[in-house]
Amino acid sequence: MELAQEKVPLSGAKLAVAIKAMETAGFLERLTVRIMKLAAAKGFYNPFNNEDVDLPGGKSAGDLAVDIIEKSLDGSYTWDEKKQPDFYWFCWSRAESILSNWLTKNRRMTTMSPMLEDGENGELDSNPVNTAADGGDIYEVLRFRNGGALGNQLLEDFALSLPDKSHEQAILMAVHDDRECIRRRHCREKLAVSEGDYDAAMKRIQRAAPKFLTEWCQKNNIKTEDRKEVR
Amino acid sequence: MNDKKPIELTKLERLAALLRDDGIDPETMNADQLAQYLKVYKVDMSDPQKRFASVLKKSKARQSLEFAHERRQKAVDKSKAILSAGADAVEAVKEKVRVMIKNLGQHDPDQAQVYAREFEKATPEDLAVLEEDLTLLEMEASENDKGDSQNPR
Repeated sequence: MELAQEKVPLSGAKLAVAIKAMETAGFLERLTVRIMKLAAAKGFYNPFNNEDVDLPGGKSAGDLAVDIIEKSLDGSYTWDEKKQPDFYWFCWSRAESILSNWLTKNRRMTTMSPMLEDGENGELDSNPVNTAADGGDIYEVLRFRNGGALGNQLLEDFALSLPDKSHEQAILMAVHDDRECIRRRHCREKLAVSEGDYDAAMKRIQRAAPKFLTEWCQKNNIKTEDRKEVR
Repeated sequence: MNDKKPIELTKLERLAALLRDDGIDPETMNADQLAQYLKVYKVDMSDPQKRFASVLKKSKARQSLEFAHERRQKAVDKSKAILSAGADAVEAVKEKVRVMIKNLGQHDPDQAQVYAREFEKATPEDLAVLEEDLTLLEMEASENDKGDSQNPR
């Protein structure tokens, strides 16, 4: 039987570095915004509802930031300051890892029944991944059902619904064909679109999205009850 | 950091990422701008801020405890050295501390009185702690004097 590794809280020089970092103005807020950006780049924000975000454990970005800081300090996460001397970026890397693991697990899962895992103090605990608050039912269905095939179709349909040969259509097709194109610089360079044209096209995409998404769901008979099938 | 290669997203997730991208880089923002950004996105930070303040406070308390433990350990080692050196060494430290308290009395009679009371009942171990405290005070006073002479009013 493998023994659980003992948690060693930060101390000495490492604790001093962490405290100094935490005392910099806006440390928590910066990490929170960084987590929001990270979550956005990984598709955690529901395009069907602007305010809905489904982070692991049903937490807000701010709560997740404090959890990470707390666990980094109490030794739940092992901070190797030789690999990452900056405490802030270490916390960021933990957020990156948490969000990536959540996505990977959800890709693998065909059922969402709660899994029990060894928690702290050796007690069985339900995995936060399985107890995550649902973000948007439709988004969840489209994201994970049939390996996301429905969602793939949605992006293509959205692109084709936009004016032919427009920048906005070109951007969506580029994102469809090349995952790197979610990065604006990469996308602009690939399409040879100026910053101004890109921003204007993105505004048009953002304006067109809500109506298109509603109509697309109606046309394809996607209902919130479908989420039960996912579970 | 923004150029990190994205993980494999479904095409719908790519759309979600695209719609949410505002081109903002938090590393270029100051504390006020970050607070404003969170306000715009209606992120309630009151609870996380309270928890964060408590985590920071606990960490500082742990650090103070570590310092105190180190100081105590140093004092214990020092007192052992004094005791093993014999009664003359103890007397020499006593005399040194007595002079330091006298010097302190010239700047801060109240504090000197507190140390004098401690000195009366001090064990060799306490003497070592007193010596260290007074040395730190002397260093602090000397730093302050230096600061004053560099920034005359």
